[in-house]
Amino acid sequence: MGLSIRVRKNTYYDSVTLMLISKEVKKLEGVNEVLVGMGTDLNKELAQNLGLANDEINQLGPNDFFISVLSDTDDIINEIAIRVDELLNQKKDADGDEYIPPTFDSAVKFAPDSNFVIISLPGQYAYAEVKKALNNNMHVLLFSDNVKIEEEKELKELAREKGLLMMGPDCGTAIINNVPLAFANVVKKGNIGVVGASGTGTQEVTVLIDKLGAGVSQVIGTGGRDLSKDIGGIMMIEGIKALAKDPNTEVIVLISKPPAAEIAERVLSEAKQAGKPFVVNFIGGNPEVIKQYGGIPGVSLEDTARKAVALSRKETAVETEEYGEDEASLKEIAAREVKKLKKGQKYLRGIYTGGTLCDEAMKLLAGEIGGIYSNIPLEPQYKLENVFVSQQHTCVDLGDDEFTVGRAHPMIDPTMRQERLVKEADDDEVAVVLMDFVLGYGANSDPAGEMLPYILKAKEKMEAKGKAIIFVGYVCGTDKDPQGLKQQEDKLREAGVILMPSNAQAVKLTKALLKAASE
Amino acid sequence: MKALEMCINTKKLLDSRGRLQGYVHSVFNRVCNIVTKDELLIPVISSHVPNTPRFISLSLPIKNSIKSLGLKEGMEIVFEHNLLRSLEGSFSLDLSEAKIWDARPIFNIDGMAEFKLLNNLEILYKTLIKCGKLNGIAPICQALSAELVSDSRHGFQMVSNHYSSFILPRMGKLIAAFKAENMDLVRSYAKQIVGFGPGLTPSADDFLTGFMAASLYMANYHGRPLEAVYRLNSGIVVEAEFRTTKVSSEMLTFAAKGEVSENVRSMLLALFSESSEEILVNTIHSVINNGETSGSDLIAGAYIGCILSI
Amino acid sequence: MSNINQLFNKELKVINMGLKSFAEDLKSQEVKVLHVDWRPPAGGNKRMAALLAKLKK
Repeated sequence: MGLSIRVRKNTYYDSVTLMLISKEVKKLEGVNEVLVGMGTDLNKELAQNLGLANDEINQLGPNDFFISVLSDTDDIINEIAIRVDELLNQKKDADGDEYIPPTFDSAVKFAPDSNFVIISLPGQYAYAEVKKALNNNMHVLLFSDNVKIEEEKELKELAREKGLLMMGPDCGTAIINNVPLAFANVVKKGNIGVVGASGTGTQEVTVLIDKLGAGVSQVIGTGGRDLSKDIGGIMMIEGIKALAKDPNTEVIVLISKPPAAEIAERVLSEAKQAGKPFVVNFIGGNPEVIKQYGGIPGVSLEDTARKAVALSRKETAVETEEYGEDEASLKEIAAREVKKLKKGQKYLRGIYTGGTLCDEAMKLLAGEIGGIYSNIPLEPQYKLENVFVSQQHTCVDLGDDEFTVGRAHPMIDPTMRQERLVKEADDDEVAVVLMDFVLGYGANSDPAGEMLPYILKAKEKMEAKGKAIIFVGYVCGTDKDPQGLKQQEDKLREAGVILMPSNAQAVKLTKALLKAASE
Repeated sequence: MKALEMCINTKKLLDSRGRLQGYVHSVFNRVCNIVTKDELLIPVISSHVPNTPRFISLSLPIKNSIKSLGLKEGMEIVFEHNLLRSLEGSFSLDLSEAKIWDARPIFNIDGMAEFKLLNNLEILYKTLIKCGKLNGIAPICQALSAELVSDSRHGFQMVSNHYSSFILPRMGKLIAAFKAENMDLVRSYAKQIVGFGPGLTPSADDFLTGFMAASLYMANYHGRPLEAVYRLNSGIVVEAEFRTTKVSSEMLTFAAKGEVSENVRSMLLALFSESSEEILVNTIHSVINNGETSGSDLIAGAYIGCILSI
Repeated sequence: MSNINQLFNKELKVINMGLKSFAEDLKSQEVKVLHVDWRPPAGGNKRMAALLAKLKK
């Protein structure tokens, strides 16, 4: 253990800088504790309590800045010192060299040829800014949630009138002209156009399209409420129209949670008119209506991607769920893994960061393993009494509002899932933990690495009780994503996580495992 | 260039002294802190930043940071004849046409029903949890409020950190002493709190700023004499000068008199007047955006200052 | 051609308001982006504004 201390006498940093430095240093490997602050008596006392003080710190005055780091080994102290100085200097240099306009209007004056606006302000301010953008003939991706439905309607009607995109509110993903926006993966260019009302659902389909060797032309997000009766599918319909006219789009994919029947028909009839083959995934919705309008229903997100890819290659989209590992080899894996479990270990804990992936898992498991408790259950009687505590079979969407008050989405900040995972290992009846790892822009820079220590901790906890725990995972990402699919997968495999190539297949294996465990 | 606005305190100070000398203490993008020879702080701010006690504001071209005006740390500054200038001559600011802003608390607010106030406080609390930055000491308001109004809020979890767990027991003691109006204890507990936490205005100081100002507004709401609160507040800040940063000790001294930044005052006014929920939420968001955790720490303190006397 | 189809043929030039990381992500992909340092509008109702105006005199 070693202490590394940086002091700048009579120096002042604004608190944003201090917080940034504190966060960055915490990320360095081998760092245990970091304290950043001004040398007031009380801060010195805290430093003392945390073992972060020495004579140098004790002699500071309230107007002196210090940063104190406790690390595992002495030899990384130099590295920390260099990094801290780098950050302090970088921050000073970065000030003022680039124009940062304070308002939308000043931004437009500075860059009048802008054509696209991304808005992620608190919901109650979003309406006014979106309206300004649309009135300036700019397309909008509205990431914010908590926008009133009347406002959404008004804004979408204005966008339609002006022939503009108004993606959102609560639009998490889009790929326009092959540029991933907000939370999106780096996907090959191709001839499949997607309109999606579900963020992670869209990410999963586009990632699988890429993995199957095909690519996308445009990916338009609509926000989760677009297909409600109130909005009437305005943006999905406008999206379909645009893809119909787009010469680079040859196949259209539509993704949404089950819409109201009349809205579904309106959307499907628009898709039919487009005159291009189309695949529809109304996650768990009625496939017959889709067929009536000449569309091809996708059973799972993977199935949707496979069918779209087949059509994009002018092949027939076959009706089969038989891809990936066959039943026999899944059974074999299950038999091998389940041997490690002890009697009485039989339950599933799905801890998801992607809402649609969680929903899909529950739907694919429904009827196979009995009721699944959740914060977003398929049936109301399986609503978790306390969302922070799992019971029996449980699948939770940690990205849901109940978990994200006061903190970032778990795709960005993994703390909530880290804590949850370790807690699951307290339950002696747990057999399988199922997790998604979503890569791409917007997401955490190392989702797998963030979870690793906690996976090991949960394992150790179980082993101490003479039990084991089976981890099943799925990494939703491409080899071109900034985190690197292979690097992320390697880390998880090394920790003993069984990885599958899609969410649907991860669920399939889970099903086999749970069956074997109950036999 | 010309100054846009200044605080009435700045005006009085300059008028009474005629000539003042000082130096540049720190420069940020939108704020330049000047400290006078007798250790008074005068922030020169961009008009984009909320007015604050003893400030002078100027209109900056949008592309520029205050640094671009040539102000540098340690630079000597003189105020005379309605002019603020650097001694070596590169910077000068004409104060003669600056509008005057009064930092004093606004107490002539129409009364409102208590249920409405409680509702506003609930909005304050929820907005803090949902949108606030909780990596300073704001999480302590959960435990403190549970103690004060014996309500156990579930569903929400404010995650504590080093700073908040360290200061929670001490803050609890101070608040109990404040409630019991025990001046000696208030003084001695405050000494163990002021200056604690991250930031140029340490978190604990932000919390106390909100707490003291809100206590005054609350006493005013109930029609109780303000003198008792002023006295207790003065106990909190009694030795602040030696225990925290320059910027922070000035902030505390003003806050003890109920003088706070413009947007904090707007938030308190919205809390205690029949304004719409939207206005209240807007003002809360504006305060949350002060500094990194400063605004959230301050709101946590203001919340506790209010529920203390419910 | 609709505005949306015109966009499909153009280079994206983005204004970003809110999460700064979205702008940084785009910058790292060499997409033109301008980040706005947006702040909430100063709050206050009419009566409060009138009060403040009175005090400012």
